[in-house]
Amino acid sequence: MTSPPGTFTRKEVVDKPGIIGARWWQESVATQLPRRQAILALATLSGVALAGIGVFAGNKAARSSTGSSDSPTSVTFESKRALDMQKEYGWDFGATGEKLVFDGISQRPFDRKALARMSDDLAPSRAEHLPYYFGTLFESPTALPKSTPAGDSSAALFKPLEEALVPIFTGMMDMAFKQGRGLAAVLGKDARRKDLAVVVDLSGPEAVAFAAGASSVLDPIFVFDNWPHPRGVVPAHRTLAAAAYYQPLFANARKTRPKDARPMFVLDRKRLAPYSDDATQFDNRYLAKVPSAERLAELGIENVIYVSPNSIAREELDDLVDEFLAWSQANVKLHVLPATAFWNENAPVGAVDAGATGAASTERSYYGGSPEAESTFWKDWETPPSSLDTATRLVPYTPKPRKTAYSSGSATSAGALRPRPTNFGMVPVAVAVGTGVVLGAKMSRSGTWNRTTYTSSGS
Amino acid sequence: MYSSIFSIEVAGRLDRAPNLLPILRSAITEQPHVIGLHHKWQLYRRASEALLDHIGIIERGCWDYFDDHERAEKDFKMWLGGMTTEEGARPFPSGRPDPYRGEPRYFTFTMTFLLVRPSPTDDAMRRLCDIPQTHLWRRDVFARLLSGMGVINFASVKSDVMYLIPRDDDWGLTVDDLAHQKFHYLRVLQ
Repeated sequence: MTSPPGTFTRKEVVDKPGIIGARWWQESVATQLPRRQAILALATLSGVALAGIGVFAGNKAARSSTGSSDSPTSVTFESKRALDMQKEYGWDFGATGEKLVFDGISQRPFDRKALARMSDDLAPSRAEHLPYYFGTLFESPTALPKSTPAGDSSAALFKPLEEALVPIFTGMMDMAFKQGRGLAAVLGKDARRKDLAVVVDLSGPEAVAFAAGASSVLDPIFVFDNWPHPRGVVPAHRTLAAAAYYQPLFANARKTRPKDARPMFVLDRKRLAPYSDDATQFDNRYLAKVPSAERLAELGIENVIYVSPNSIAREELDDLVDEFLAWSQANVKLHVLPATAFWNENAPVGAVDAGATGAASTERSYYGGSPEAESTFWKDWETPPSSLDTATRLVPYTPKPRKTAYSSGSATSAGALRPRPTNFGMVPVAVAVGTGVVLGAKMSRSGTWNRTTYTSSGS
Repeated sequence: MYSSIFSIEVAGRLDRAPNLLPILRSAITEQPHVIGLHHKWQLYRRASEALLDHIGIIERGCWDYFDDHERAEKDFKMWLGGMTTEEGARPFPSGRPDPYRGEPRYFTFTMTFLLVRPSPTDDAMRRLCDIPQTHLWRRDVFARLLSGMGVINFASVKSDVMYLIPRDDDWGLTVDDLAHQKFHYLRVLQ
C-alpha cells in the first residue's frame, strides 16, 4: 500500500535496550526517477511518460499545502516582537551574513572569550540594584539561535555575533570617559552623594564610556534592552563594541567600588531613533525602564541627576516624561547636568585622537573646566546659578507634561503601560498560512515568499 | 531527481545529562508509522535543540555531506547499517550511570537524511556544511550544524534515519566500548 503524498512511512525499526531507531521513507518523493533516467524513459515510452508527468504535478501540488520552503505556499505577514525573533532565530534575523560597520576599532589586545562573561562583568555590584539591570545587549554576543526559520535558506549561514564584534574606542568615548571621571571625583568626596541617583542618557558608546569613567564611585545599572542587527535602526553594535572595550575596567571596578555605591542608570539616547521603513530597517528600538517613585524611595533616593549630552539637548527623551513627572510628584528632586559641564581648560589643543592610540586616558575633566572651578558643583547644588549662566551647569529641573508618542503627559503609576507607536520594536515576519510556521523575516532577500504570492498582510 | 546525503552522529556523556536520553528517545518513539512533514520537522528540532542545550557534554562526533548521487545512496545504506546491524549497541547492560562515583557512560545519537537534489534544502545544507577542513571537528561546528538543521524541509527528504544508543540508561556505552575500532570514525571534538 502506498502512503499519501507529503508523508513518511516507517520502514525499519530497532527497539532494544541497547539501541532504538527507525528509518522512514517518503515514497512520493523517493520513487521519482533521476531526471536523466526520466528523460530516457520519455524518449522510449512517451505515452506512459505523459501520465507520469501528471502524477508528479499532483504530488507537487499536495506538498504545497505543508507550508514548506521547497514548494509554493500561502504566506501571510504578521508583526512579531523583534527581540523575540532575534532570540529564536539569531541576532541577524532576516539579514544573515550582512556586515556590521564599526568605526574607531581599538588596536588594544582583546580577549574574545571574555565576551561570554560580559553580562556578569557589567552587572551592578549591589544586589538591590540588580532588578533594574537590563543587560539584554550583553547577552547577544554568544547567543545561538534556538531554531532556523523554515523558509529562509540564508539562515543556515548564521554565525554568532561574537565572531563579528570588535571593541571600539573613539575620541567621543574618550571625552565621555573623562567626563564620567570628573563626576565621580565630585561625588566621591561629598556626603551629599548618599541620597542621589544618576541617570546617564547619552548615545550608546558615550553612555558606556561615561559610565566607565564614573564606575569607581557609582554602581552602573545598564538599561540596554535590545540586540544589535545589521539593519538595526538603533546602532546597538557600537554600544556593545564600546562595552567590550571597557569590559575589563567594569569587571575590576565592580570588585573595588564602595559597598554603598549609589545607582547610575545608563541609557542609550538612540533607543528611540527615527524608524520609517520595514524593508530596509530592523526596528530594535525599546523604551527606557527606570524604577518607579516608590522603588526609588526604597533605594533611599531623594535626588536624581540627569546627565544629558550638552547644553542644548538637556530635556529628557519622550519615554521618560511620565516617569520624571511621577518622580517629581513624589518629591524626588531632579537636576539636569550636561555632560559638557565637565571639561578641561588645560587640555592641549589638537590632542591626538584617542581612537588612534587605542588607549584610554588616565586624565579627567573638571566641573567648570579646572580643579579650581570644581568646587562650584556643590555650590550650584545648594544655590542654583542664575538663568543667564546655566548652559553648562548643574541646575534644578522641573519636568513639564508633554504628550508624545511615548508619553501621556501625566505621572504614571508603577507598571502602567506607557504609550508607544504602533508596531514599535516589532518586525514583519512571513508565516505559512495553516501551519503558522515562521518562514523568516519579511525583509530577507533569500526568503521563499519573495517568489511566492501571499494572501494577506498583517503588518 | 538525484540525491545528496547529510548525516551527523554525536557521542556524549550520558552520566552528565540524565534528562537528555528521554528527550532523544521521544524524538524517535513519537514518530508514528505514518508521519507528516511538519510533525517530523518538529521532532528533529526537538532532538537538535536538546543536543544544542547539552553541547558541552558532546565529546565525539562525525558528520558528512555529499552531493554525489551514487555516493549519497551508498553512504545512506552504510549509515542505515549502523542501526540495522546494531553493531554499536552493547549486547548486555553496563549498569546505571552514577554521576558521583561511577565510570563515564556514553550515548550516541545519529541523524541521516537522503535529500532530493537539486532542492532549496540541498542548497541550504551545502552552504551549512561549507566548513574549512581545519574546522571540521570543532564543537562549535557541530553546534552550527545542529542549529542549522531547521532549514531541512522534509518535502525534499527521500528517507531519514534516526537512532539512539542506548535506549535504556543502564545500557550506556563505556570508555572501552568507544575505544573499539568500530567507533574510530567518531572524532574527538576540539
